[in-house]
Amino acid sequence: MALWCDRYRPTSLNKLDYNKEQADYLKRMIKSNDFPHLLVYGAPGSGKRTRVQCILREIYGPGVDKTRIEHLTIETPSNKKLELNSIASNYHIEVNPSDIGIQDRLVVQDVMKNIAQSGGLVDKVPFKVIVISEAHKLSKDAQHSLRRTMEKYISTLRLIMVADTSSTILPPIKSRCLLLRVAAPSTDKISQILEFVAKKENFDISPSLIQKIAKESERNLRRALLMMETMYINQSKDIIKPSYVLYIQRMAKKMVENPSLEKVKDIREDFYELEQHLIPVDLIFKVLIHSLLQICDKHLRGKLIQLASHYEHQMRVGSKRVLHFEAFVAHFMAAYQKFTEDNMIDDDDDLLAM
Amino acid sequence: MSQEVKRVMVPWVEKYRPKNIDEVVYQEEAVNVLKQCLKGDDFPNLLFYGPPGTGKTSTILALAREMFQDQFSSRVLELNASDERGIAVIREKVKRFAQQTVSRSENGNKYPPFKIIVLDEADSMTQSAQACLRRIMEKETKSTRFCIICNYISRIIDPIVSRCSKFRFKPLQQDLVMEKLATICNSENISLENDVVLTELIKVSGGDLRKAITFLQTAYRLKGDEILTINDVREVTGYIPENWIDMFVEACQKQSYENVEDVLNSMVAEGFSGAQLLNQLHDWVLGENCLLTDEQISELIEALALADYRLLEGADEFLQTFNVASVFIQLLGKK
Repeated sequence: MALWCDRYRPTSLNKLDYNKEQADYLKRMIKSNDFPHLLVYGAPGSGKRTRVQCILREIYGPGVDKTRIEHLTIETPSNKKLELNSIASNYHIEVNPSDIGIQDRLVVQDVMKNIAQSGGLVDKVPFKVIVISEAHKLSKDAQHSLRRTMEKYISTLRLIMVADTSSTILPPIKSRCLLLRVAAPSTDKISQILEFVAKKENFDISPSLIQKIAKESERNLRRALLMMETMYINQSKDIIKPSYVLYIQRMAKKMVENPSLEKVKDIREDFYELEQHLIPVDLIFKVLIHSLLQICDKHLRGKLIQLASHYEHQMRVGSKRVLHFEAFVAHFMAAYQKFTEDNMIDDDDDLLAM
Repeated sequence: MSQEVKRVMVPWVEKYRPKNIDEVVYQEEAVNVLKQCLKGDDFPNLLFYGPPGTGKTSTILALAREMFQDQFSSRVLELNASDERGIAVIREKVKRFAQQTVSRSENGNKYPPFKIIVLDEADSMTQSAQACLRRIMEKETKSTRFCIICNYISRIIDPIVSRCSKFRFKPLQQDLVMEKLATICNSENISLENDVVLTELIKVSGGDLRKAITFLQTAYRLKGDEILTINDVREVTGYIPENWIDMFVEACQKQSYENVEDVLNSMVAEGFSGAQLLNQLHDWVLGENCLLTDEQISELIEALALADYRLLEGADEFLQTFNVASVFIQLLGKK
C-alpha cells in the first residue's frame, strides 16, 4: 500500500492541481520540441519532483514509469572505487551526486559523458534526460564541470536539476538553464486537496480540522498529507504534532532558564538525541530560533539572529556539527545572562540606551 | 533525425556566436591587437580575462577558425573545466599535443606554423596544474601557443601571467547588447510588447550578453509566438515582484520580528531565492526610495555582503535573510 502522498500524485501535466499556467507553458514548450536544460527549484513539498515526473511523461510517454535501480561504479583518478545508486528508465537516469560527498564532480562528468555518447532511443526525441536531485548540494567543482558540457552535448542530452534553493547554484549554470520556480500551494489549495483525498479514502474529518492541518503544514503539501494519514491510522481527533518540535521547544526553555555550564552539557545530550532521529540541523536551528524569539526580550532578538546565522554558516563549512551548535548555545546563554544582569542594575536607563 | 528538429535544438548562444573576429563586439583593443598578430608570425601566448558573457571564448574560437580554417580540429585543443585537468592530464595530454610539430602548409594551403591550446575556465584549475604548465609553455613555443581564459586573473599564478600577453574584456555597453538582442528578435520573429522589455532584459543580465540571449530564448520558449511582456522576462530570470520587496521593507520598518518572519517564510514557500532577494534589496538600498543615512546604508550593505557570501557556501536561506532583516530593524530602531 502506497502512502497517500504517493497514491494521489498527479501523473500528467494536465492533472496538476496548482501552478496550472506554468504547466501549460511547459506543455507547449515540449510540443515545440525546443526543450532546454531545466533548473527546478522550490521549497520542500511544493511538488518539484511531481512536475519533473510529469514532464518526463509528457516527453517520452508512459515508458518512463518503468524504472529500475542501477548501481554505478565510478573510479577516481587514484583508483578508488565509488558506488552510487541511480534510478533509471530507458529514457532517463536519476542520480544524486551529493550522496558521494566531495567526489561529486566525478559522478557528474562520468554519467554525463556516458549518456551523452549514447543519445536518445526514440526518433521523435533525440536526447536522454539526466535528473540531478538535490542539485543545491553540488560542490562548486561539480558545477564548474557542468558548464561547458551542458553546451557541448546539448543535442543528445538534457539536464533537469532539482534544487531546494537556487542560491547555491552558480550564475554560469543558471544562465544556461530555464529556471522553473515551483511555488508551494497556498493554504486554501492544500485544504482542497486534503478534502479530496479524505473523501476518496472515506476518512471522516471535519473541515475545521482540515484547515488546521493545512495551516500547520506551512504550505508543505507532503507534510500535510502525511499528517492527515497519521491521524487516520491513529484514529486520533486532533493533530499530532511532530515530537521533535516539542523537544526543541523544551530545549529553548532550558537555554533561558538560569544558564550554566551544566545546561550546556544537558543540551548536548538533547542535540545528540535529535541527530540520532535524523532531524536535519537546519530544521533544528529554525525551530529553535522560532521558539527562542518568542521567549526572549525584544532587545536581544537582533543578537540572537546574528549569532544563529553566524554559527549556522560555520556549521556548514566545518565538519563537526555539535561543536558549532554548542558554541551557539553557549554564546547565546552568555549574551542572555549579561543582558539580564545589566537590566537588573539600571532598569531605567535601559530604554534610553537602546 | 530530420533537419527541422535539428535546427530548433540549437541554443541561440551557439547560433549567434561570432563566426569571425570582426563580428566580436566592443572589444576593439583586444581585437585590433589580435588582428595585427594574425598578419605577422609573432603570435604571443594569450591570457583573456573579464566578466562572463563578454566574448572571451567566442574571440579565440573565431580567431582560430580564421587562422586554421579547415584544419581547425587538428590544430586546436580545447580543454575546459568539464574535462579532467589535474596534473596528470597536463603532463600527458597537453604535453603530447604541444610536442607535435606542425608544418607551414598542408594540401597546398598555408597555415600559421603552430597549434593553439585553449584552456577555458582556467580559474578552476588547481595551482599545481598551473605550475606544471610553466615550463611546457616555454619549451614548446616553437610549435604551440596557449590561450588561457578566466574570469578572475587573480586566480592564475604569477609565472603564467608573466608568460602571456593579457587582454581584459570589458563588460559590454548597454546599447551594443541592445543592438544584438534586437537583431536576434528580428531574425527569430519575436514580438515584444515594447522596447522596455529589452531594457529590462539587459538590466537583469548585467552586461552579460550570453545571459541576456539565454533569457530571451527561454522567455520565447515559454510563451511561444505570443507577445513577450516585462513580466515574462522577470519570471524566467527569477526576479522577485516588487510588492514582495515592499512587504519585506515594510515589515522591517514596523520593527516587528514576527512580521518579518512571516514574510520570509512565505517567500521561501513561494520559492524565491535568497540570493535574488539580497540582490534586489541591494538595488533598493541604493535607489531613491530608501531614506537611510550613508552610515546606515554602509552597515546594511555589509550585512548583505556577508549574507551573500554565506549563502553561496550553502548556509540556510531563511536564517541569513533573517539576519539581514534584523540588522535593518536595528538600524531603523537607532534613528
